[in-house]
Amino acid sequence: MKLNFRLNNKKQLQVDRAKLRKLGYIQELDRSVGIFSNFSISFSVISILTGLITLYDLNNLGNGYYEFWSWIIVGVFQLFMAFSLGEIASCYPIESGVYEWTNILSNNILGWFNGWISLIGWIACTTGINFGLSEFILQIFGVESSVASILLICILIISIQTLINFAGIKLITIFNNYSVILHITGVLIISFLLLIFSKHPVDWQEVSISKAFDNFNILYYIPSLLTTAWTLTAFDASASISEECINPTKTVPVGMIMSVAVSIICGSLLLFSLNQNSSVLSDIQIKSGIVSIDIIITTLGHTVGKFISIILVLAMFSCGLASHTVTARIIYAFSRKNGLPFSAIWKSIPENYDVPIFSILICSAIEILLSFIILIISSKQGNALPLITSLSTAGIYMSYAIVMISAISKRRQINKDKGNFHLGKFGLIFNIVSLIWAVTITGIMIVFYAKMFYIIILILIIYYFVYMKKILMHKEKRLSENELIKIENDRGID
Amino acid sequence: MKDNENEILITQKQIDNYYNKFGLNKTLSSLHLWGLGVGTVIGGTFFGWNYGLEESGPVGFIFSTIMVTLFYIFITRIFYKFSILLPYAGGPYAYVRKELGKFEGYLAGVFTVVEFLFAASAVTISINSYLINIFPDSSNINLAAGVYLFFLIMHIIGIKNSAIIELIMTGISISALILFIMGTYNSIDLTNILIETPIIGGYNGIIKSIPYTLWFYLCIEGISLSAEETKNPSTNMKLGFRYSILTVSVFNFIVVMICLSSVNMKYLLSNDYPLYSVLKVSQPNDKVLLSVFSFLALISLFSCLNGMINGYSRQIFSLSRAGYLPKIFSRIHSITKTPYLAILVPGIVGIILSTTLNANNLIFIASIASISMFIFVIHSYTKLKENNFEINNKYKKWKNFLGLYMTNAIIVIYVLYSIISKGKVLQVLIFSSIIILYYFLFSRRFIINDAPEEMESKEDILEIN
Repeated sequence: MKLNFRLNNKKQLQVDRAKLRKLGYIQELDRSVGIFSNFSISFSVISILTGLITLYDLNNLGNGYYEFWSWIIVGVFQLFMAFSLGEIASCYPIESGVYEWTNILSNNILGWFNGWISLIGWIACTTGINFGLSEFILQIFGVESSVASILLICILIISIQTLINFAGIKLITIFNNYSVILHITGVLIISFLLLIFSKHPVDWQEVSISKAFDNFNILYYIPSLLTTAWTLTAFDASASISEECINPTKTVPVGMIMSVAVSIICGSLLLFSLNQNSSVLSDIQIKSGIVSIDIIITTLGHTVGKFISIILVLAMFSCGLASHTVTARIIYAFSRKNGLPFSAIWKSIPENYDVPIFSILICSAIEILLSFIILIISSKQGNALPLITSLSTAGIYMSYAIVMISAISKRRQINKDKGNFHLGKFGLIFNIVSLIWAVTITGIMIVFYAKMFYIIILILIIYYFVYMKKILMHKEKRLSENELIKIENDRGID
Repeated sequence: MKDNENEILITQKQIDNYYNKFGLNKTLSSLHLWGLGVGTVIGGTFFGWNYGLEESGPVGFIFSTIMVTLFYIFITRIFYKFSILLPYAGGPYAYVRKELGKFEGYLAGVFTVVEFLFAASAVTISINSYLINIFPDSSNINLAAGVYLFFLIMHIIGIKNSAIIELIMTGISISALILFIMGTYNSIDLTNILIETPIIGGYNGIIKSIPYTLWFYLCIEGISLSAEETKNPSTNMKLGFRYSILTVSVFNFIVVMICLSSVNMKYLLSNDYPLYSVLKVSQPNDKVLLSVFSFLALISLFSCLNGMINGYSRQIFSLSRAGYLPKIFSRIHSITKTPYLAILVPGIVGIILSTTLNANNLIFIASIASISMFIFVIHSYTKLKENNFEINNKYKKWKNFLGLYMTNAIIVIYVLYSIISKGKVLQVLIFSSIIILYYFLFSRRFIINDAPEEMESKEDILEIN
C-alpha cells in the first residue's frame, strides 16, 4: 500500500508540473503541501483569535453587539468571494494568485497595479498582526507601552518569523497545522468558559434580529465592519502557495472555502460569548486597552485569564508567521515578472535553498519600517491599529475587486480553462455579487479610515508613468513548453 | 525456478492472510505514542502520592521521587530498545520470551496484564469517589463503571480513535498542570519543606514511600505494547518513550516541589486531592479557576483509564494469539481491526474488581506485578547484551553487566521486602501459584508457533544452531 501511494504521489507531482509548464513556469519550489496544510495556512492567516480579539469593540463604544451581525453578513459575502476566487484558483494555480490572475484574465498593466495593491494590503496585514501582538504582549506583562518597547518587541517577533521562514515550507506547515488546533481549541475554551461562568444566564435577546434594526444607524456598523472585514479576509493565502501544493487545482479551492466556513462558525461562537459578558466592563476600574481581554480576565479570574492569554499569544504568533510567509511568496512571484524595483535580487533563490530568501528578508525589513511609521503617526493621533488594519483591508478587498472585474470580462476563458473546481452557470452570479461586495468594503474603508490609500495610489500612478510604462508595454516573450522542459532537464529535475 | 516463484507467492499470500486475521492496524505516530505514554501516568500526578509523605517526610519524599524517576528513565530505555527490536503487541512477553524462554515469557505477560488491569480498577475507584464528590446525589449508581464501559467501546471502535481521544485528554491534563503552576507559583515558601524533621524514618522511610512515588510512573511502559500498531516503529518508539518520560518527570518534579513548599505537610496528608487543596489555599477567591481545575483533573483520570485499557488488551491479545490464553481473545473484528474480546471481557472483570477490592490493595498488587515483570525484562536485556555484543575488554564487560545484575538484585530484594513487610506472603503465594498452575495445566499444550513473537524466537534458535 505504501509503495502505491508514493507512486501516485509522484504521478501527481508530474501532472502538477505539466500544468505549471502550460502556464509558462518551471517548478522551482518544494511541492509538499497537502490539503489540510493548505486549509491551515488560510485559517491561520484569517485567525479569528487575532482579529476579533485585538479589535473587539475598539475604543470601547459598545460595538460588540453590532460586530456579531456584521460578522454574519461579512461571512456570507466572503463565502461568495471564496467560491469565486476558488474557481479561478482552480484554473490558474500559480504562486501569488491575485496578481497572476489579473495578468492572465486582463492585461499586464492592470495586473501590475493589482499586484501592488494586493502586496500593500498583505504587508499592512502582516504588520497589523505583529503590531497587535506586540501591544498585546506588553499589556499582559503589564509593561507600559512606549514607541521603543513596541518597536523592540515587533522587531523580535519579525526576526523569529524570518528565521522560521528560512527553515523551509515543511516547518511552516507543521506550525500551521498546530495553529489550526490552537485556534479551534482556543475558541472553544474561551467561549465555553465565558458561557459557563457568565455572571448572568444566556440572553438570546443579544442576537435577535429585531434588535439589529432597532435605532438602526449605519454609523454603528462601520467600526464593527473594520473588525470583521479585516479578520475574515486574506484567504487568498491558499492560492499564494499554489506552486507548493500537491494537486493545487483541487486543494486550493477547498482550502479557501473550508477556512472561511470554519472561521465563520468559530468566530460567531467567540463573538456571541464575548457579547454575553460585555456587561462586566462597567465594573472595571483599570482598563487594559484591549476590551476582550478585560472581559475574559474579569469574568474568569486572573489565573485562567493569563492561561488564555498564553494561548492567544501563540495563536497570534502563528497567524503572523503564516501571513509573513504568504507576503514573501507574493514578493517572490511579483518580482519574477519584474514588477518590483530591483526584481532581480528578490526573485533569485540561492543554491541549497528552496525558499525565496531575499523576498523574506525584504518583507521583514518593510514590516519593521512600516511599524515604525505607524508608531510615529499614532503617537500624534492615538490608536494605531485601525490605521494599519484599514489600509490592509482596503488593499486586499480592492485587489479582489479587480480580479472579479477581470473574471467577469473573461468569463468565457474561465469556462474553457476550467479546473477541478468549477461553478458552471452560477459563476457569473457569484462573481457579480463578490464584485459589489468588495467594492463596497473598499469604499467604506477608504472613506472612513484609510486616507493614506489616496497617497499610495497617487505614488503608484506616478511610478507607472515615470518608469514602468516602458517595461510593461514591451511584451515579454513567453517560453514554450518544450523550452521549459529543456530547462528542467538541464537542471536535473525529474 | 518456477517452484521458487510459487513459493514466494504463497508465502506472501500467507503473510497477508495472517495479518488480515491477526494483524492490527498500523496507524500511530510518535505524537500518539507520546499522548498514550503521558496520558496513562499523568493522573498519578494529581492523586494518591501525598500519602507517601507520612512515611518519609517532605525531603525524604523528594529523594524517593528522584530515585524512582531515575529508575524509570533506565527501564524505559530498555523498553524502547526492545520495542524497536521486537515491534509486536506482546511487549514484555515478547522480549522475555525471546531471551529467556516460554515459561518466563508467559509470566512476564501475565504480570503485565495483572498490572494494567488492577491499576485500571484502582483508577476506576478514584473516578467513582471523585464523581460522587461532584454529584452527591448519585452515590448509589456506579458512574465510574459507565465511564469504563464508554472507553471500552471507544477502544473497540478503533485504535486511532482511542489514540486521538487519549491525545486530547493528555493535552487537557497538561493544561491543568500548567494552570496549577500558574495559580500557585506565587505561594512558594521553602520553610514548609525544611521543617524540624524533613526526613521521617531515615532510609527506611524513603523505602517505605517508594510505592507512592512508583504511582507517578506506573504503566508508562504501556507504550511498548502499541509497537505493532505504530508506523515506522524504529524512530517513533524512541521519540515516544523519550518525550513521555521527559514530560512526566519534569511536571512531576515541579508539581511536587510546589505542593510541598506552598502548604504544610499535614495539610497535604489530610486531603484526598493534593493539587486541588493547594490551589484552594493559594487562590481561595478564584471560583472559576477551582472549578475548571477540578474538572480538568477528572479528565486526567479518564486518560489514565483509557491508557490502561489499551495496555491490558494488547497484552492479552498477544498472549492469546500465541496460545497461552484461550484462543477466543485474539479474535479481531473484521471492520475495526481491534481485538474486541480482549478489550471487553477483562474490562468487565476490571469493573467487578473495582467494586470488590479496595484501592490500596489494588495498587499494591499492580505495583508488585509491575516490578516483578521488570525483573524479567532487565534480565532479558542482560542476556541480549551478552549474546549480541561481544565485548573483548573484560573490564568493560564487568562494568556493563554489573550494573544490570546489581539493579536486578536490588529490585528482587525490594519486592521480597515489600511483600513481607506488608504481611501478604500467603496471598501472593496463592495468587502466583494459580498463574503458574494455569501454565503447566493448559497453556503449555496450546502454544502456536505462527505468532510473530514465537516466530521471532524460533528464527533466533535456528541461527544459533
